[in-house]
Amino acid sequence: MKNINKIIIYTLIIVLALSLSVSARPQNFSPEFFRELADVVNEKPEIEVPDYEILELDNGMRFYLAQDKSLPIFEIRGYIDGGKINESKNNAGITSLMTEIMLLATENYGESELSVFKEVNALSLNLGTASDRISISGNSLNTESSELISLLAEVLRRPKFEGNHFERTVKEYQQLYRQQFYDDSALLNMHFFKNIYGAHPYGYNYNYNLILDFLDQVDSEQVNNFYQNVINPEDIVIAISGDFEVESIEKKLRNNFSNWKNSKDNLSKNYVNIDPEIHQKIIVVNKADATQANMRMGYNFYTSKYPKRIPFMMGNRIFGSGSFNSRLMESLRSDKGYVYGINAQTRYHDYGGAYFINLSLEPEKALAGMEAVKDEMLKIQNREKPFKEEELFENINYYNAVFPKAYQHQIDVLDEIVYQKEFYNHSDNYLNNFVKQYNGLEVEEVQRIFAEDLYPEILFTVIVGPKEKILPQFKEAGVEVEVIDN
Amino acid sequence: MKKLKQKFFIKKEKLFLLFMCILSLTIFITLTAAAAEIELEQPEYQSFKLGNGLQVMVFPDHSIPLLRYSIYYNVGSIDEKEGQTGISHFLEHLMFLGTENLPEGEIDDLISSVGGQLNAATSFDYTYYYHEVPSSMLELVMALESDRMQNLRFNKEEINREREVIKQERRMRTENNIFSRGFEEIKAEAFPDSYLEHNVIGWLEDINNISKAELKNYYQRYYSPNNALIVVSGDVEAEAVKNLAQKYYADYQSENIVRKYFELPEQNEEKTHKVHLQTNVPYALQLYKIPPADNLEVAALEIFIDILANNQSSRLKEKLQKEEGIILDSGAFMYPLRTESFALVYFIPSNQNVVEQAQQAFDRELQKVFAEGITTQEFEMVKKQYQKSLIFSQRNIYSAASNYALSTLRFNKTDLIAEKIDYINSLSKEEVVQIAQKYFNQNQRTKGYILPKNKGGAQQ
Repeated sequence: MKNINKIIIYTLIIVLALSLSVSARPQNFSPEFFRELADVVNEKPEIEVPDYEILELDNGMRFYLAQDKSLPIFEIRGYIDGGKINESKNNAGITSLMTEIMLLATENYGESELSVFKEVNALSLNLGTASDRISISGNSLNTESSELISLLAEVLRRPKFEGNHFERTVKEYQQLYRQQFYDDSALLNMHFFKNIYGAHPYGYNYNYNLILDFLDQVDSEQVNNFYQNVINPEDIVIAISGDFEVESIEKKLRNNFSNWKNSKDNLSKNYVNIDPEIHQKIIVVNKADATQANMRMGYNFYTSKYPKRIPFMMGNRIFGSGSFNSRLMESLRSDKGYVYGINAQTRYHDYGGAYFINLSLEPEKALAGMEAVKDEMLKIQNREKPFKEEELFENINYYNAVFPKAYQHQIDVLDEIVYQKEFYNHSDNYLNNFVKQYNGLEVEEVQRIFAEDLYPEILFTVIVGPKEKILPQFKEAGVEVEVIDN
Repeated sequence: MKKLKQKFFIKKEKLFLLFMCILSLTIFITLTAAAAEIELEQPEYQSFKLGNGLQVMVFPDHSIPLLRYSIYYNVGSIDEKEGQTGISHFLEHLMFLGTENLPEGEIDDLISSVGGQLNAATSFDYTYYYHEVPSSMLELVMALESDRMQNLRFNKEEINREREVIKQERRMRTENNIFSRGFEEIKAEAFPDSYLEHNVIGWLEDINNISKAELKNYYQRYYSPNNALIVVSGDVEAEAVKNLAQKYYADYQSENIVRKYFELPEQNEEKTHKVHLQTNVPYALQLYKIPPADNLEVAALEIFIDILANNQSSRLKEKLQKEEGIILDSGAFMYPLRTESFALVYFIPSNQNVVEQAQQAFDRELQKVFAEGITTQEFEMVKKQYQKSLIFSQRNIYSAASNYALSTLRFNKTDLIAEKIDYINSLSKEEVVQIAQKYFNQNQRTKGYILPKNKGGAQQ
């Protein structure tokens, strides 16, 4: 009996050992196995709108204040309405120069003193110059929130434009812009956007020759006058998030900004004129030492108020998000091995936008690359390869997964609310409405809207690279190109 | 604001009494500042090791329903041999093409279908792959990486097509960027016949010649469990990771990895190398040898380079840029690795006519810091900035986790960051300068210049 028991026990041990061993071994991997694991539909995210208070000063300057005591930090984001749009042909580049100088020295602080003040207190403050607005961003530990507000007031209200720092910065800018003629990406920007935007401030900003002309004659008085015109409290809105007491911060903001007066002129703003002359045009900018063809293909596009922006965005993600399974990457990288990366972008501004595709490849393959891009556009447009439901699902599923991360921090949510409310009259619930809209899209709708606004027949193309290697393929194909010798 | 200004700048025209008050206050502030220690709020994590040597670290943070799954392999460009430069990076590309069990493109499709994203990076001393996915997809990414660790497919046609993609990446990132192109050549001159001679992407000739057999051999040699570290951060529980690690990785065999001997050649005299390229602006680079990343003196060097070149109020920016106007900018980077490595200090002379003058001014400033030391204010500024960055980094569990991962992967030291902070807290400003003097020695320096090929003004 004992022997039988032993046999049973040993048998059980062996069976158990085998089953343990089997379960410890990797699964029989197969596409089906992985697909089963990958069966998930992400929940529609809900972005929490922070409780905020608005402080509006008599001069029109507005602050959105929202406490967040999770960490001992203090953050600001903000906007000054009016950016490069306020420039003219004669002062191209003045906005960037002005913001650079604003951060360097003030009436109360010399250049070196201001640097030390920032670094002793570990303050970060930046101004970013965009087409329609100047952005403000800064942060500090909560113990230095007063110093950050004081610094902001110094920079916005009391910049000093006269002095050595001005002369030196102008010289530095001249060198910076001269260097653009040696950089293939900068050359691509210049020749693409100065043609797309033409005689419009958006275009002047990519015309490095215009900017250099301006820098040759600019003086501090001219920049100061521009500053007086474009930096005014009524055009400024600031979001503040962090570990602070509202009453105390409001007091500091009032102390620093209440007595700042508006002094602006009315500045006229115009829409971009579309130049049909550039449609289908190909420009080769010769850069003899380049070993690649750096290319951009595109056309003028809608303003920031484009009503079909969300379905177009989802269509463009399927077409050219830059991820491995987007149409352009699958065709030009995975199938053909032409490119390392390729993407399609929309650039919306208040007075005219642009849509374009970026790629770089071996110079001898420039024409083949162009044709492959057009081919992919046509396949969508003529429905030879319409968008599939699973492609839209993947992109919606992706957005639902990453949205909570993009708005994980309160300052990011507050920043978006401020921007959308102040400049586009959207509600506090803008982000959740956005989520609702892209989740409600149908593939047919996305296909139709994207195809309607895809214009492969008018693509304007700029190629920067060595003309000796680029031109023969176009000549052989009988395709006309304009050559610019850099 | 004027009040605040008084907090840090002593006005000359003060009465004696006020002067005494301020003096007392200054002493108080100095003492307080000197006593202020950097504090580290460590993230909670668990780590364990499988029997085959695979290490796993888990950093839970349930604030959003996402997780990041990273797998680090302890292999990078420093491990490559002559004629095979770029093979670590080449292999990284192949890892996306498919396995014996998954056709090409399927890995991307699977991750995209769940709303995730994946990517990879190759460094000098490690290669890592990551997935950012909804937290319910933990098993999917663990199974996918398990499959890639053992069953990668090597198809000649696919390898050759990917070779073209890599060559284009090289054109884009290195050949057509003035600084990268010049830096590649100068670094090769600084560290000839060593593991630092080539960049991660490798020499073009080697990329052209690396064979399928070499890639497979490299994969089998280095992509083993005992040469890997899994780091999972975000909305995840350690127990779930432990169970799945057992299920998907425990049966893989460890490999005997024999590494080459890493030592940089001794340098006893200064070297200079000039590269002439199509540029308007010249660049001046200074390369110095630094110790491995677990040598705490690296922390002192990091403090020093901020004071010398990175801060807005740094010595180079104050003297050479703001005062003399002979440079456009300055900066410095450390590249700490598991082996000896290098620091790069650079400045951009205002134009090609002042390159020599700027170099002499740089040398003078460096010698001046060595002779006169750094100020308490400079030292405290850097420490304050470091404390701030530690607090802000608590907002992102992924980046906090990656810091711990690298010190574990390289040295099996999870507490290196805490050690570093203790070290900085005990460091004096005099020691910072002594350590800098030891490594930023003129005889061990390579000066590199990227200069305009053609004389004459800029084209407009």
